[in-house]
Amino acid sequence: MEPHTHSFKTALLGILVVILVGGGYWYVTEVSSKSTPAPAVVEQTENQGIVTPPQSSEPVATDGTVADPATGDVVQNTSEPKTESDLNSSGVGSTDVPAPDTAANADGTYTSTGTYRTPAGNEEVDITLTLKDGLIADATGVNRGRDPKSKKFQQLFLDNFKGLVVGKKLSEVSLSKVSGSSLTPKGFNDAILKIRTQSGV
Amino acid sequence: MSASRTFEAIGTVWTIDVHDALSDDVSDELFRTVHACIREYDETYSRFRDESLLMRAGTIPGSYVFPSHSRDLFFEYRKMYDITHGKVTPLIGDVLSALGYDAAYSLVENAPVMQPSAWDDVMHYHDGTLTTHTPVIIDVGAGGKGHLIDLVGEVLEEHGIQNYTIDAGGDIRYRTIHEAPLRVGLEHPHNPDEVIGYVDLLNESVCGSSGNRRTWGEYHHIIDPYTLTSPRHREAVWVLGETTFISDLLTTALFFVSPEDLIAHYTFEYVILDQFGVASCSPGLPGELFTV
Repeated sequence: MEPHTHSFKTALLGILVVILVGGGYWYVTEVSSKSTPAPAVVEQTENQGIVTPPQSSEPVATDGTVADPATGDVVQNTSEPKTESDLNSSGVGSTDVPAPDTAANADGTYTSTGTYRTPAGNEEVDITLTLKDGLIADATGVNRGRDPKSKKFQQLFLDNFKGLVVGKKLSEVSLSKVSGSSLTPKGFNDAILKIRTQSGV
Repeated sequence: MSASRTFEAIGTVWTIDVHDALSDDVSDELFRTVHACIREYDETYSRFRDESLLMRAGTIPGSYVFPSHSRDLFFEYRKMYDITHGKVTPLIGDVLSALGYDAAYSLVENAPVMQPSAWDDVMHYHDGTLTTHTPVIIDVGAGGKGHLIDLVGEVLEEHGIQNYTIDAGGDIRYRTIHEAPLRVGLEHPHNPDEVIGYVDLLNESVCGSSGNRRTWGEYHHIIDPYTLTSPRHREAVWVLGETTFISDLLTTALFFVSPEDLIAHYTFEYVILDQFGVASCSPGLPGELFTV
């Protein structure tokens, strides 16, 4: 199998993120609709690309059953998948289009099917990405939910996921200033370091 | 000659760019006045200084006369307190302090963490005089930096400067008599080398706040006075407004309430990045978000 181009990997990662966020969406909606206290934070670690479900606080449905959130299915991927088999083992679904070998060739439309587990069984969602000049130019999805709830949540997700931000390098954008909080007070960072050292974390 | 100075004050880095012509003499006098203004503000309101006027007022109950800029500070704080039903409150100082968010950044819980008092139970502000009825730690961290940036802006304007940028740790006030917007990137909360979009400022200010900075334990610097937890559904918030003070206050408010709760009371634009990395913004935002 040919190695994937960077753009292609980006596209696949994009699909993955979209699916993971979709799962999170399901979970939060599920939790909030049941009015259970304080939804646990779904941790998303960029470096590892692993989404873990909350370990201790599984939301309990009002009818007494334990809701297994969509994210209960631990999806693992390496941030830079090297081979097709890596991708398949990630459980993300396979691509319909063979991997092109240069960035320019990567332009085009790609569709991938994401699979995730729900209380009502496995569900799928189709995501289509259009790459132009190696960047994501458009993204659309098809609702393939079977269970009525899945259908509803997929639609919620598909209606909203386009706000998902994609950072651009400072060098790509002409800016006079940047507004943010990276200039955290030095004393605070020093204190945190000190505490970590003391606690051995 | 125009002037640009970078310095550290109130725990953050300031960069002041004066785009007007300025002689060296005037420039020196100007920045001396700026530093005096910042020092006076710090000595009046800082929660990290035991001897600040606000800390003394909270230590020994009584009536204290504050400088004239306290009128604006307390008026807007009270307005925001009422609109957010007490979620934005200067009385969060007791909570922050109990959790160890103090001058020494001890960051270790050192007192029982309890919901803050109601404003009217513990203090009364009228016409420059703050009266405290009971010991209380008052914290103006949600809007104080923005308020101070505006006061520094007034110092510049009193010196006849019409074109300038004040940037204090990413909170920015920009004034110009030209039709020349200032393009300000919105820093990616997880990667300071990237931006998630930009806004174009024209005689406005922009303030930003992110929930993943200044975190300790399960907390970040914004704490809900009702639940005594830090809101996690928002990753970052930016607000564009006419003054830095109001923008700063609104940034904190948007961690607690929705924009719809605020638009009846303030004129502003916003960007909210939620915990899943999905951004939303006001329809009139003069800028762009980079989204799929």
